[in-house]
Amino acid sequence: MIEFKDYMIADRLSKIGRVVIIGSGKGGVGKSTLSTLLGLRLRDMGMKTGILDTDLHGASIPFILGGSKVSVEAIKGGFKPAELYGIKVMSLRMFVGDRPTPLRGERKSEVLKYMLALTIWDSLDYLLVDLPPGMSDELLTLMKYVKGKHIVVTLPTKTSIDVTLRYIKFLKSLGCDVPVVVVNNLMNITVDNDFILREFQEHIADSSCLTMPHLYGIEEYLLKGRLPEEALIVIDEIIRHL
Amino acid sequence: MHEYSIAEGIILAIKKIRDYNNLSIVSEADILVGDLAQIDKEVLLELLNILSEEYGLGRITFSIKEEESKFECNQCGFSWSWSQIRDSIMGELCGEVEDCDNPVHFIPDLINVFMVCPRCKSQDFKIVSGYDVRLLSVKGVKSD
Repeated sequence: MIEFKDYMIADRLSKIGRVVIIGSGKGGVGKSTLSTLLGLRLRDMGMKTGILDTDLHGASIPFILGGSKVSVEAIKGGFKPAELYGIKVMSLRMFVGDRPTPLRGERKSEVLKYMLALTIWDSLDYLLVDLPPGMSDELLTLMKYVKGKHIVVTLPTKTSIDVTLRYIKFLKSLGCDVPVVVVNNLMNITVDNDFILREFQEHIADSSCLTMPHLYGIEEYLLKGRLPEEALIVIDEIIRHL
Repeated sequence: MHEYSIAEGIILAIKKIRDYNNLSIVSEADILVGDLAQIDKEVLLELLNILSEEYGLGRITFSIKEEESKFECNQCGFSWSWSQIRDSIMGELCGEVEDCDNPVHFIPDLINVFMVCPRCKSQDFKIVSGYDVRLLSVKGVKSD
């Protein structure tokens, strides 16, 4: 039994300059928000940018960019990504709308393989891959087919940092390049930088640790395809590492 | 339209298998199609013939076998087949139209999003057989 999808994925990704994988291991830390911020900034820099939303249970990128009603379109050779504020987007939400997606492991891997094999990105400078929380099927399937730099996101809390460190250890054990860890101050708390640096230093000595300030009204900015000024310093610093 | 993507994928796979195995000629290819994928087999065959020429593979004898899609509920153990519930699911996906581009046609694994176990109404069921398109075998002649 030969799976044709396996043979298509490399072909479909062949015109993509750089792949950047945004993950965490922990949920609710702002991975999709950061992916979208990066996408908008790269777009502003004139880069052809796509976002692949691999969060199969909580696909949210189209929603964040005001495209919650966008559905998938079949074109010759596969699926056409949606174009939202100049960014190409592919997400399971475009197939299922707001329906729940109760998929077990193998089904999730197959869904992701279909999305990788049949999305017609054409040429892109950057493909940003927004991961779901955890180290399960989506991450494992993706790592089999896609190589890229990893950006890791955490909240400035002990629990989030604990989970995120395990995620980083997993990536490092596979020899992945993790140039940036972003401490996302989503909750607007006082960040103990010394604690964070101490915790991370042992595992990410070769990575930059950047703190994203709390971004007031971020949802409204992204719905309009705009970037808040306060995000620019950190976003530009992340892009410098890609 | 989706049949083109499937045909292209199969041809790409055959091409890479030919190169990997150092085949000078690919003579036959057997394909399995689960009915859940809603593939128009005549269209698929026509596209395979066109694309095998376009991709420089020459004339290949394609054999397309059908497989009935069967399901088993992970919650109550009930078993059923696609043919038993096809009309109601397709009615939900396509409305009055008999066939249409729909998410299950694009990605058969998404059936769990659109169908429930006929007995206990759970969406937690497995696909036992016949869920998408597979290349079963490729035959050819080795280069000297």
